[in-house]
Amino acid sequence: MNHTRTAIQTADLIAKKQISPVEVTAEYLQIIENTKTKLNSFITLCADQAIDFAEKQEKLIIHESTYIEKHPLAGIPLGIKDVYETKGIKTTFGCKHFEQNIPQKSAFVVEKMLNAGAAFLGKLNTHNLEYGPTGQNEHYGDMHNPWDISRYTGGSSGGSGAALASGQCLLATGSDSGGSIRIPASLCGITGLKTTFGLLSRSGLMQLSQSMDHHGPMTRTVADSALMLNYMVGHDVSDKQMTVTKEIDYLSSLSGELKGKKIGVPKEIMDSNMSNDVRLGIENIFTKLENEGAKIIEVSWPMIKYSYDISTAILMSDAAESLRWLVKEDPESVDYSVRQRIETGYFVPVYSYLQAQRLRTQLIQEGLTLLGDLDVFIGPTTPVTAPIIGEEWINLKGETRHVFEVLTYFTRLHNLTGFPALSIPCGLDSNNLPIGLQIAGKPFDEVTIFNIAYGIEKLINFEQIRMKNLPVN
Amino acid sequence: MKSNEKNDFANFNQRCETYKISKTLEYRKELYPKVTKMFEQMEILDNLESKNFQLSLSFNWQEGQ
Repeated sequence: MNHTRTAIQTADLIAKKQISPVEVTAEYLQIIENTKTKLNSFITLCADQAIDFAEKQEKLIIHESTYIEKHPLAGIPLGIKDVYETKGIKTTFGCKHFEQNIPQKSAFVVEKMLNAGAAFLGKLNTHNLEYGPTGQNEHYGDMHNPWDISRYTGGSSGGSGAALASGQCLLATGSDSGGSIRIPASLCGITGLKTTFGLLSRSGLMQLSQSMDHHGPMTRTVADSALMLNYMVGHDVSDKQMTVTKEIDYLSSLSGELKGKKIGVPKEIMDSNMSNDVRLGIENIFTKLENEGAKIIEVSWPMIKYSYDISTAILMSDAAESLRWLVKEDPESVDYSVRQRIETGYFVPVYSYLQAQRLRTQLIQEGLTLLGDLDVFIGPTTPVTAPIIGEEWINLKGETRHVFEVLTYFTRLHNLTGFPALSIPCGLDSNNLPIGLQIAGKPFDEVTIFNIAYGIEKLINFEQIRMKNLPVN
Repeated sequence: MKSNEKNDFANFNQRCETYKISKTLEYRKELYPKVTKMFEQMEILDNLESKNFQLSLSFNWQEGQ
């Protein structure tokens, strides 16, 4: 079993015909078979289709000399979070109500990745209706963290986080309305990018909050994330909220240069409550960055203190608007805690929603002003590493808060701003659990985020840490 | 429950009727603290907004002088 290869290395071996798509697919299906009961990361596994596809692809690679050039993701194992519609394949949104839902067409980005030749393995588990940061699901079962299966994967894209960390696939999609890509990336020790609002088409994705829903690539490494983003971006005329951007090759833009980079650290984040291990892990990165010639600059972004409350008003109202019909029509199909959060949204006063939108503008303005003099912001993705499954209240230095609030405390900020934000692993805590570092930047400047993340990744070499310390494989 | 809390819960209960939320008392009792917590958060926004409003008023007034 070899799941030490990255997506880029696998693509290279396939291009050189040193390994075939059938071999790769069979290898990953075997890993899934060995780990699926422990992790519960898939809702629908498409093993037969994956093998059929790989056999056809293998013939095409042999007979068509330009096949790989035209299909750069050929043979790379891909998992799709079950909130993206997939043509002819059950799409549940993690909810029993949609058990029989077979879409007529695939989401725009799914179509793009399949056209690039990716080897689709199945649909990944998600927190019920992508509305929760722990990775719990009453109907399809909780997802389990490969670093310690008694712990949360984070959510909502928990299936994607667990599948990547354990080597069940090399590419996975994730959606993020309050941290749903970055939280599982942090807790499972992988790379997750929430792209800028408007960069990617959202056609064919479940809607939770029209103004806070984002999505993006989830992978093990930064370079794989850049590769995957190359084949997710594309103009979709049917998505009116997309911004037309110039074409960028994210992968070839990677340099990892850190010298002279201006890195902002909002004091309101570092003054917040977080575990000692997370604080030490993040401060260690600051030191490493300074040693590489980057400038760490403490900045003040006062509105951050209110970002959690602002996002509550908007996310709860939006989710109530999106899902009220379902709670009315089939309440028993919705997980108890999700249903209660949807219904809490009914009570948000209209004036609070409007206030929140005004304050959001102020928050964005403050952030953009600060970014005028900076390359990126950095800080922890989550204040804690993965809590135990079922743990509802977290006590952090004498302060007890609900696990949902703790996990989303630093991530929701960038669902409000719409700025791109990426989480990469930056070390392990004393319980052998990954610590996540969040890097956020200017709108549509994913390139700078990737570059700084790539530089940090080279300093940390988390792939080696993962190989040495990950218990589930 | 204190009398004002009883009153608040009665109001909440009435709104649950309007919103057609489950009639089970146990369900509503579990929803109530979540709604209360949300209102506390909204109060923070309200205070912040009123501070912003007063600041902008005083700014305009001074400019007018």
